[in-house]
Amino acid sequence: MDTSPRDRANGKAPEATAPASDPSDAEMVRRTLGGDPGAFEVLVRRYHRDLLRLLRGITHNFEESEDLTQDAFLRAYRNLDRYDPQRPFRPWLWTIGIRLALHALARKGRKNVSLDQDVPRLEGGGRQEGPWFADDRSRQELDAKLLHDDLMRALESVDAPYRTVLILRVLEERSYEEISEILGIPKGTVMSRLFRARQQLKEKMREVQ
Amino acid sequence: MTDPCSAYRKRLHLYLDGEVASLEAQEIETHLAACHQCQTSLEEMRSMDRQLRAELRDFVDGDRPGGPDRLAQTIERVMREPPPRWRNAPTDSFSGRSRRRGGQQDRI
Repeated sequence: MDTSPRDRANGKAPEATAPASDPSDAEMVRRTLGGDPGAFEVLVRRYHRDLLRLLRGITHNFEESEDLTQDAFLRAYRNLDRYDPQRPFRPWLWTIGIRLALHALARKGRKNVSLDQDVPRLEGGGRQEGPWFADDRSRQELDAKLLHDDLMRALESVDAPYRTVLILRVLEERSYEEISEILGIPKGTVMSRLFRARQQLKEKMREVQ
Repeated sequence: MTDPCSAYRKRLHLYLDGEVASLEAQEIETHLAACHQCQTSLEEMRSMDRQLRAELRDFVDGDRPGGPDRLAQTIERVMREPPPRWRNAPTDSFSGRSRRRGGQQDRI
């Protein structure tokens, strides 16, 4: 059987949307605008978790991402009549959430947010050898933990616009076309930002390790 | 001397993301079959993406005290808002009221 280049190079996880038996997003929007605010609750429940994950990835701050997620739903609700029902709801909501996150980061004048509150870091930071390891498993667990911390720190120091594209691609497995639509930038810009993001991440990993 | 692989470097990212057409993918695969250096580069990129995906999922799915309550808070906050209404006469598949309430509009 012939497979697409995408399939050959990298598999894509199925999109989380409404199950076929549930009312569509567009139907929920129609009901909300028709005077049934409870219908919007369905959309909040449907997308809250995924939007929160995405914004956690972008901000690297649990509390801030929770506030931003709430703000994104609120903005979406207030501006629901601007949503085009011919297009999918989720990318529209994502656009709102990502813009809020990037504005929040820019307002604070930081592209780096401390991870210390969320990810404990061991003194010294580097790989450590020593007799205090009870066994190989303990050592492996520590190595894995340090790699996790290093990678998250490196990602955190990648410029926010590049990081956002990388997260949409790697975490959500979005196509360039989808990323272009969500962020409102040309596909060529998606390509170059992604290329730069991966380069920066590689360089930062070398620095933190 | 020109690096014979330089033309492929950027395209390896596109290939990794499944963003090249079939014909171009075949051309890259032919090059990869003959070039150990590009094979290694692609494998490094693939490995970094895989690792990043796993670590990111671990990070964003991490538990936080009070986290689940935020869904309920979000719903409660949204429901305190005046209900949205059609601002303009709906077109296409939608039908409903033709005028929106005079509420506050955000830039989105």
